[in-house]
Amino acid sequence: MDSTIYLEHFKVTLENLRELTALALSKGGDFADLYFEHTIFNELSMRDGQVNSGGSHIDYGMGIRVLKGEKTGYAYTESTEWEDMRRAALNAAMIADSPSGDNPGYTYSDGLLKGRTAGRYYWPVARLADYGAAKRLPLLKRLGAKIASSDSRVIKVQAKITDSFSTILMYNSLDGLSFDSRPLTSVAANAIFQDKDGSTETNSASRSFRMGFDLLSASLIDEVAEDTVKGINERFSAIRPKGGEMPVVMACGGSGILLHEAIGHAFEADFIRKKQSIFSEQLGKTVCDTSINVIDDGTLAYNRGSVNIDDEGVPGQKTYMVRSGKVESFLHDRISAAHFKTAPTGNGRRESFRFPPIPRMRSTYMESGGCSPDDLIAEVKHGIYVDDFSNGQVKIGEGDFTFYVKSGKLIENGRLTSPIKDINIIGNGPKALSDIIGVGNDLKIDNGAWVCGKEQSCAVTCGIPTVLVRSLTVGGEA
Amino acid sequence: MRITDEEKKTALDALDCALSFGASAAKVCLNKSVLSTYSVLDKEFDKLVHSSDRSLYFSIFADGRYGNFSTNRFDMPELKDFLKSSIETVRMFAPDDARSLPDPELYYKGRTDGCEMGTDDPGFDFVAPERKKQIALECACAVTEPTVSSETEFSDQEDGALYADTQGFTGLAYETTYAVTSEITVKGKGHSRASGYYWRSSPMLENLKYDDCALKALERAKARLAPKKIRSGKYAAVIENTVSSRLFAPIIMALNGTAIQQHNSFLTGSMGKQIFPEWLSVTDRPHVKGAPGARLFDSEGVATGDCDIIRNGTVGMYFINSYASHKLGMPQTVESPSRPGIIPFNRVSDTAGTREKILRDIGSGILVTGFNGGNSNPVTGAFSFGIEGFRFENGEILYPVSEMLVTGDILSLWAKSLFAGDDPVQGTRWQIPTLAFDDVDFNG
Repeated sequence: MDSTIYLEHFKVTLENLRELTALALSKGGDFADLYFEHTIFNELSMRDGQVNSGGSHIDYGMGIRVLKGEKTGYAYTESTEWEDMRRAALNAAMIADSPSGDNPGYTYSDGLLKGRTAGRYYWPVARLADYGAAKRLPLLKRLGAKIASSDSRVIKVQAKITDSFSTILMYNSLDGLSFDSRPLTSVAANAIFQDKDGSTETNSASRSFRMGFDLLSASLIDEVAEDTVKGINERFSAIRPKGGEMPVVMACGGSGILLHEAIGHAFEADFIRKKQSIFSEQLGKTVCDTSINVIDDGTLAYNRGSVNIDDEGVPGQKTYMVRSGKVESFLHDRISAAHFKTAPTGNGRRESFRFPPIPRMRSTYMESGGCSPDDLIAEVKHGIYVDDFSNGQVKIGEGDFTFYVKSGKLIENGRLTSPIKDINIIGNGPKALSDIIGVGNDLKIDNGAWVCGKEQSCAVTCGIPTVLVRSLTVGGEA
Repeated sequence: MRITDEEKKTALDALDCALSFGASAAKVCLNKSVLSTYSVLDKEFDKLVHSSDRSLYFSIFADGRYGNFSTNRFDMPELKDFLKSSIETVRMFAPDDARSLPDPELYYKGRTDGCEMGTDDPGFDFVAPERKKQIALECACAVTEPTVSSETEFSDQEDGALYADTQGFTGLAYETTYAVTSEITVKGKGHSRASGYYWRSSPMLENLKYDDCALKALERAKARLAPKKIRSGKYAAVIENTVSSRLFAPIIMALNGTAIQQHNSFLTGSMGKQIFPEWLSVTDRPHVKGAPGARLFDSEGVATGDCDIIRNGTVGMYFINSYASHKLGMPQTVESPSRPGIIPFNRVSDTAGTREKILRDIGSGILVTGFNGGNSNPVTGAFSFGIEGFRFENGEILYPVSEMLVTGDILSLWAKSLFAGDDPVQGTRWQIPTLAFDDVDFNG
């Protein structure tokens, strides 16, 4: 696509960008980049059976980053008027006024980037916003009606269709101009169920892709509706298991949160550069079974975590974090890549123009192994099987991670038995990775609306085949 | 940084525009903020961030329908197009007669210049960048022993908000926040590291105690070295005041009117009933001058005032905004608490006090100093959280614990509450002190 459209969109010229960059470097900075963003976000909500609220939100502005060695100066403005951008450039430039310590000649990208070009993992087809609320209304009504009619215990349904479209223009002092258009559309539903005895339960489901209105088909709506009521019988009869250390079989798909929390964050190279990560000294070392490959991928078509280019202008890539059990690469932005004299991996991402980029995951998953999922369950005498999750967290230094299990089942003598719910699982990243003793042949990427909250919100996804972890600590009755 | 007369005029003109384009009523909130952060990594200045934001949030009512819209574009012709298209969008929604502006009788009636609550430092604009940098460096350099990594940050922020609606309400509020945060990582056994985090904040720079922040973080990191796993079981739990709000927040969320109306709350039907133990009383004190969270009105313009959220175990109020009020058929209140706090109590001995007092009083159990993930089910109140903390016996801390979980449900937990101290952290909106509970399920 022609860059002219993007330059005109933000009412700037190439000459303006060169001049701004020169201003940003005027106090001695080594590298400067500019990030222009115009995002339009729309939402349509259903509550109490009616599509009765919604809205639109516009965010427009540009950020300027100056690097001096590994030090960062960042400023942004919500306008692209020359005077506002000039002031932001001078504010960001101030970082270069500080003594920078040893500067081993950072390049911020090296020859390994040459020849790489932006991907086409998603592209601006019809923008959802262009269709207006009228086209989305029947789909949201269908979603609400489907859920309500699926189970007589449904007493409340909340559902939402959201879409955003971001127009992005970047310029930096090394590689010049790059640009991207990023659609993102999500469908989410939550239902409250009430049983005859008055007890209540809740369940939710979502789908999210880098697509526009073309995402929203009747079949997708029906899929979300089915997932919203799926497993509700088990939730009403579910128990909290007796807690403690035990084997855990993690179902394919959303269990990928294990990778995100247990190792993903600790592979983000800002933590490695600052020596804070428990994996800091593990590059090239074997950390788990040699059959295991763990990937962070920005190249999956239409995936919520994919990037044609990251937010530093680096092309999206597929990065093997662990290959054949050995640590192959950390997840780099330009700063950490320069520090380690390697190429950036396309993981420099940011929430918006209000934030400088930092290393972030994209779609993090494990490749399929050779075991049948049933065989993995059959190997466990006493443990749990988990298949629905919500938030997770990790302590980078210690490597201790947790995630919340919304539903699953007990495993007794190799068979799935009583349903379980509302427990937290805790483990240690390197130990959990080395404790994976079986990998299923059923890799599934979970396309829910996952959000990672490291300093800034960022759209991600995760995936995993069914895996058997020898031992994790499970919350429950003492 | 102040909201300028021109910006105020834009916001108020936008309301008129909305009416002229067919809205029956409208509300606007103009937010403006400025923030700077000065970060020090390993005692060297590392990152400088300057930001300033402003945005307009509109609630638009038209033909019995409702929508909310926001933009950071203040150009009037562009704003007019935005409002016109927003109203067209609203007209596509289903009518909802529960949507309206509040009863004007509930509004805060005084005039405001935004500084009435004393939460805005008049010297904010005059703090030199060099001074801010110096604070961050002084704080970081207080640590003299070797560490794996040391990060310290100074930040200052001023937030301004103008609220106005087409019923004539106008209110202005400013608040400043100065904060220092430190995170220190030290090397443990093998590849392991232990990190410690500490922070302090204040609305006034002169009241910000920052010199010991990195030292406290270091102390906390070193204390976390060589943790042990302990046996699952029921233990008394002492929850440090820095993290105790985690076990209080589910109660406030469950008292939210919208959650009640949606049956998404374990406190549905609890109004006026003794759900909690008789020794638990929770108040809201929004008019403490100079205190974070102090405010005269909420985002709908409803006047705040002292109130009992829970009195002697009985639920005293739900937080009901105009929408939930119509839906539930209950009177509107403030939409959320401003500065909730727990009246101190001690079920183990006669007087309240601090963390040290309750450790001595209880003798043995687990001291929780941090939470690591987890969740609570809003419908049932069931929760399960990862924790970090320490085993203590005879009132003395013995060793850190690792990979532990605490599990239960909020109502049963609070029924076994033993202690609420008189030591809430200054500089926080929610005044939740050190807490203690008996017979808590820990898994390790």
